[in-house]
Amino acid sequence: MRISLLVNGTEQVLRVPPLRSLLKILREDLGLTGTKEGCGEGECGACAVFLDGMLVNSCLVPAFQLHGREVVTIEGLGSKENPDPLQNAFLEEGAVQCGFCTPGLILASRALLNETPRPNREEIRAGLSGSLCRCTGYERVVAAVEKCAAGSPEEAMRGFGARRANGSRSDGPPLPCDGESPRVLFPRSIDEALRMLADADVPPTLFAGGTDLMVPGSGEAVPECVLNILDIPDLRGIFEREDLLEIRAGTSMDAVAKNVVVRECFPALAEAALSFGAPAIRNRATIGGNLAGASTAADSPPALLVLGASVVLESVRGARTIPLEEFIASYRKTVLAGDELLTKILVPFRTGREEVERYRNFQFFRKVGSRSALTISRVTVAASLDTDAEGRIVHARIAVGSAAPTVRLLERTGRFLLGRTADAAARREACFRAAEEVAPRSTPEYKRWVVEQLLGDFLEHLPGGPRCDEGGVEDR
Amino acid sequence: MEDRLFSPVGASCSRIEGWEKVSGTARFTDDIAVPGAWFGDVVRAPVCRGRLREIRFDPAFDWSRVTVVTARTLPGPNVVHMIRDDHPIVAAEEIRFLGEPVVLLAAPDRAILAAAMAAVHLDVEELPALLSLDEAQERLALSREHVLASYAFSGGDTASALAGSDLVVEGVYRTGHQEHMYLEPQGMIAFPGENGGVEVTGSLQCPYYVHGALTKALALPPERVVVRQAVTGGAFGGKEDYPSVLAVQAALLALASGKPVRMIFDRRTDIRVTTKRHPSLIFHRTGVRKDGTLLGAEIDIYLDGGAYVTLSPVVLSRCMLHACGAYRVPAATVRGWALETNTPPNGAFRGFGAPQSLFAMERQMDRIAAELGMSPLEIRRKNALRTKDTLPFGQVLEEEAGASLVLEKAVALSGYEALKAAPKFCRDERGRCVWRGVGLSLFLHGGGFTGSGEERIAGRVRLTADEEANVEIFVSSTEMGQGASTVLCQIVAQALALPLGKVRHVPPETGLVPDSGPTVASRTVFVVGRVLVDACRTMLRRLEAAAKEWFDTAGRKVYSKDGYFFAGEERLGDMATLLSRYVRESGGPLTAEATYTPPEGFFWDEATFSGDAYKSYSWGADVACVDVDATTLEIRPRKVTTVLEIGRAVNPVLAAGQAEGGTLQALGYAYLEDMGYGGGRFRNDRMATCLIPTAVDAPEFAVRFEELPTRHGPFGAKGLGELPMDGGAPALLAALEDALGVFCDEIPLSPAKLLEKLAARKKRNCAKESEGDGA
Repeated sequence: MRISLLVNGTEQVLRVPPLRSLLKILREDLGLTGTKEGCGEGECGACAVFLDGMLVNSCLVPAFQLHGREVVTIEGLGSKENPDPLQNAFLEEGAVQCGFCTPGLILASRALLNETPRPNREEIRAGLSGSLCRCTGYERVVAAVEKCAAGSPEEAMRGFGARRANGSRSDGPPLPCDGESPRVLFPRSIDEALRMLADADVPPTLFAGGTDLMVPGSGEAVPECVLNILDIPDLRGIFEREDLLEIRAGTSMDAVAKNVVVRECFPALAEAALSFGAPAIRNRATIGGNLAGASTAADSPPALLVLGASVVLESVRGARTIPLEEFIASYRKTVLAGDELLTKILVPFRTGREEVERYRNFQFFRKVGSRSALTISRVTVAASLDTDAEGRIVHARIAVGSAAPTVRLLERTGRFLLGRTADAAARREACFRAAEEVAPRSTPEYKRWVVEQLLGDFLEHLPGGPRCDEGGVEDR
Repeated sequence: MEDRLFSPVGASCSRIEGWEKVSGTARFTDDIAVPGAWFGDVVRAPVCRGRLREIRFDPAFDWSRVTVVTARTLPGPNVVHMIRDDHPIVAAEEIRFLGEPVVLLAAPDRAILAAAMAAVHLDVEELPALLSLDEAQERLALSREHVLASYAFSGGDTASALAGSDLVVEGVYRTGHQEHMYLEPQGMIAFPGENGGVEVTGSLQCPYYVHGALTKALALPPERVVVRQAVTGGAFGGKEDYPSVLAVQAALLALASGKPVRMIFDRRTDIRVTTKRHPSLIFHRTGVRKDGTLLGAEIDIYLDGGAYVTLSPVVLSRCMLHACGAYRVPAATVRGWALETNTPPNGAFRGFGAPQSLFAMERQMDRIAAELGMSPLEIRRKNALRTKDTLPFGQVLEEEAGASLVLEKAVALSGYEALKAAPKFCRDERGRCVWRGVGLSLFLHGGGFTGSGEERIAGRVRLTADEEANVEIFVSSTEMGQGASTVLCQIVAQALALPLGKVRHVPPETGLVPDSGPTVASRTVFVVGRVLVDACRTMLRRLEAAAKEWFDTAGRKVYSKDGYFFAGEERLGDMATLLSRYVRESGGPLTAEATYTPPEGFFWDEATFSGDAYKSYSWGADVACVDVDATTLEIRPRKVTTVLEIGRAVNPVLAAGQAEGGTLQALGYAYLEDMGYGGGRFRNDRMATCLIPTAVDAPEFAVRFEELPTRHGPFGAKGLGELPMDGGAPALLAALEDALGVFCDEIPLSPAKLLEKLAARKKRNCAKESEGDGA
């Protein structure tokens, strides 16, 4: 297809296959080799660039989502005459060794400082968690970023490029070329997307942030037809309705993690979204995509399950709203029909006088991965409980991820807790039941144990504060 | 006397190639555009062991569009030259590991290449394979045919020492594979040269290793083969041996096709087929007195060499020579075997065998301490090597031993004893309940090649100076991120008392640079730096001689000092002025060469494995603090204090980067980096599964350098690069032991394995209680 995009302030018109990655376009078509390929699956961050001012891993961005956009790479960040202060600081602090991860690390640092001008060390580490470095041990990288904290506003504009000055931005979809594969459809609204789905002979592959689909070897062969749902304006956004929060399916994980209402009312979901990948991944990945993949290791489903979320599936035939637990059918399968689109996730607020005034709500989300960030869930536990004035549990939903073929609500455990206070006996029994209710495949003993421990820990801390200063784990 | 004119050694100047790296303009191999280049790939064996019956080329595919190389169409011997020439370029009949190359292909574009790859079918008879080190070790009792190398040495009468001990402590230790995970995957571009020669440019540590492999495989005279190093994105030993494999493949395809051929690995291929750190299985029997004094040790070491020899004999010897750690062991017997298995060949990785044996020794020391009721610190204090002590292979530590120095500094700097006494169960910054522990390790690392390796290499260097007094360094030592370009320039600038900006490290290219040896074994500063200083001396002598002619020195002694030339008390001029004049008057650049001169008084006997194994030792001590989440057993290194004695820190900031980066690799090795090896394959073959630490996983570091200058290194400097890899793993496991009270003897460790340990202990305790009830 023919696409036109602004790269480091220069208009580029290219003829490229629709699924060609931005990384390949930069390196091989434009000769901008400062952007590196370390893994090709969005893991290492060496290919990070700014796309419309947002940090992304360029290996996960397909050509068909680039038309009319603006890219800033390391080559566009600073020059020897006018370097980004981060470039100098990386040199002075010894934050550079082999230099392969350096462009990505510097851009990730720039993204961090643009958003959080005075980060503490923990925020710096979290901000750089999607940029792997094997040489430095990160100590000097953190020091370099610290040195540049609270830079001037002009510096914060780096990475946003020249669009404001230039003003050129093509509208409309890119022009397809003859015989190219896959065919890409560019709906501008949900309605148009639904019509396209209805009219298709073969169901097109729905393509949003691409953080799964662009990973080689993860999917099937190149699809015949792709429906680009990332750029549908009415598929994005978070809206407060009377008794629920409506999260449009195309909303990024980053937007979910940062939404004020989500953070206030649904901390379990905010935590889940924040534990997802690293900044450049959260900027692209959508909550709808996270659900539709139906992976047991997905981060948002356990949180949404315990919050009682429903999903809205639309087609030209109409819309249906079903509970999330019914949406996920089996291992990596959903009930989404070929002509349907997941459009909304509805998360109910606690309403009703009694619920709000008399009951206290407690939420919990914990993902245990193999490392502290940028990690696939080894086991996830989420829970949401309401207790009455006497501390009796009046409402309980507990869910696990990576502990069964699908994300799973622990219904029996939840039922057991109803009407009880979380005393030692009830806790023990609930944990026992939870361990029975999960069915992990790998390291089952460990996963069962973690589910028990996390649930027990959460229940123990329900009414008062944590009590871990009083005594140890019984094993000690 | 005036101050030195310029004194760059000891200064933390920014790395010389830094701007290129922060601006994205540094050209790594895959960044080099080569118009008209073809793409190369490899059809690989689908089984761990087997017999190749036939290679079938699908007749439906148009083979005229691609270039094919098999064992039948090689121009030279089917050998990738390394220590022993057992490693075929492509399997001819026998297949020895999953992923072994069988057919090389090159095509003008990726689509044709992919189609060609799919059109090759291998008919293979699968044979039983040897897939684990444990199995290989057991089989040793029956047969020695899978022994790749084996050595033994003894110092003192070990049997009597053990028999006369108050206590004999036994331990078995295991370490796993480790992937280098340099951020830049392996890559090589080969160009057909004139006269049937070949030139390759790639990501590599050792240009002359690659050169040797190419001349052998292509049956070409040395002058028709050129190897250039591109900017190299991390190596850690992973680009010591494997680039020879890749360069031979690319060069064969380039010669066969007549086109430049690019071979750039994707990450998955890189993880699957390149070399890894040797897994180890190590048995310790140590005799001690009640007061903790070590009397004797019997150590048996088994390394998994993988399918071919690669560098295994040398890895094994370094592993064995570090087996007694930084301790005085009056009587020791160390035996070692590198065993063949049907897994991808294992090779060089930062530390080169020492991290494995030091892990075992450090854990064994903690085990002995526990059995004696001593503290880990006391037992180390008691046995730490001292100056003039004799190592088990007969070397006397003539230069000052730094073991106690680094140990005491690390203990003081970290507040080890207070940390040890602090409550084990507490809450971390996030409010989570954790078990908190602290552990320490003490270690040493021999700088430069083992034994008489440096004498065999006899590294050569060349310096040239032009009319503007710009000095160029010609060595085959490579910059791969560790800072060689910068620190070698600092050393030369110091020796010549020139500003750093006047000195440049020429990008290594065979033919252009002399062979200063491979960039390995922590030898670049320590050995090559020293030879460069010798070359600088030659340059100074020449200038002094010239000065005698140029000036009326009237019989006064002419000498150079601190950047100036003197005749007696009279200053004749500075370095830059005299250099310029020399070049102007002689009509060409001033060139000085030097070759490694063995220091006197060192002797190594390869046959008996005895003598002076290394010219100098660097010393280190780590104190690691760890939190273990009480509800999930997640392991989180909090802080690591590392005190390293390196003779002289040529560039403290770059040196600290080595210390921190190496230590983090060592921590990852201990608790995170699990390749999921089983049945001849690595289950974790993606960056998303073959994990390395992120910025969030990395602990806070406190790094301190101590300096006990060696006579044998430039300005007192010793080896540094590998030292930080040695201490992290045992210190972390000691910290876990302190936190949880369970002794772990195997890495990589995981929360699931910790749980097993805790459950086993609980079971033991219950059994003990019920026994008690019965009595």
